Amino acid sequence: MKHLANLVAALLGAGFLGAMMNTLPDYNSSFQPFGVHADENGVGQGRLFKAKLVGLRSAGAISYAAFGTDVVRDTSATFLVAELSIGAHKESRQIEAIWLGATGRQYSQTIRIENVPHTLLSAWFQPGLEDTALAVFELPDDEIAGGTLALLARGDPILDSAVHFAAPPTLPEKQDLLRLEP
Amino acid sequence: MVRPLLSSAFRQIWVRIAATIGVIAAIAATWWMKVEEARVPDAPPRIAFDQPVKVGRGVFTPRRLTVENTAPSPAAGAKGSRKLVLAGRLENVTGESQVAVFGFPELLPVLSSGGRKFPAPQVILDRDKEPLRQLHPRVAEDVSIVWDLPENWRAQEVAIEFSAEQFKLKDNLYAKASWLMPYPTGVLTARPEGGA
Repeated sequence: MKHLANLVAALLGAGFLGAMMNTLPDYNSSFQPFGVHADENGVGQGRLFKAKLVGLRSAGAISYAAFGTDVVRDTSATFLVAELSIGAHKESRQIEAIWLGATGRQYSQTIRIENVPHTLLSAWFQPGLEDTALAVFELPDDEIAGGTLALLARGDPILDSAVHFAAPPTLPEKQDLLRLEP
Repeated sequence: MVRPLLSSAFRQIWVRIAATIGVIAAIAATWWMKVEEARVPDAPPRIAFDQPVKVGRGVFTPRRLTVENTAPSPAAGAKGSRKLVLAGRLENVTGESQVAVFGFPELLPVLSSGGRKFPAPQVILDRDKEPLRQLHPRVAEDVSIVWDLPENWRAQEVAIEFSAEQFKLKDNLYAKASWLMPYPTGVLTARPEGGA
């Protein structure tokens, strides 16, 4: 009888342990920023910043001037340019943008387009001041429709907020060449 | 009086039998693991041109190996020296944009020729003629992997070894997704075109 009781206790313990292991959220899902969705006016309020998605443009190539030289970048995919208006709440911040594609893949801003004024790669946002900025992505066409733009404070975003903007139902017409002006 | 003594003796025998079985099982398992290990070939597989091979966190398809007098980019290697250029197509096969397509720390292909190893190459994005710094998922790009060649090097057969990282959805430390444990994925052996 005593052995049976021990066996039952061991089986119950193993069962509880297995249930805990299989139901406990893993690191990848637990340590994520909190998702905050933009309101019907397209304005999203993060913990450290406020942002508005002003518009989206797409192109097969992008040109810009960097240090007095014209640079043209083309792609086998599509350049998607998000125009944003951003203001920090309490402290000067840099903001990072990620495109969550329709297939679930995460696309960072392209660093092939750099030294362009007012891109999120280099822009700082000051408290109480709203400024405009561009986020440029390089995406396969089928990742754009159904995708989402996410903005988060640069650094360690764990347990902070990420502002999500759903892509508009009608996507911008793809231009052959888009000129980015300062 | 006799029954408790017998019972105690049986218990001791059973414990010793169980311990002996455990030790034998551990020895057998260790021996079999060694046998399995010996059965796995140490040498990475040989690959050919147009055959995809895993590199870092991506897949590379080598297309052409040439000796060039001029680099495909001004940023590639030392000025004036001849270059060995492996051209191919590189794709990021992960779920997110990568600045470390060749892994972190970087596992660039290793060139050896005539028993001599060469310094690490540079990877040039053909589209921009600039070093490759980022690659997005499902946006494959043509790249050139460029080695500087010493002046006294004569064109001969070379071996290029590729390595990749292993993706673990839950690592042993934090149970978080990580790229770990580099391992060799293939060797390309070829004689470069050009360069007398």
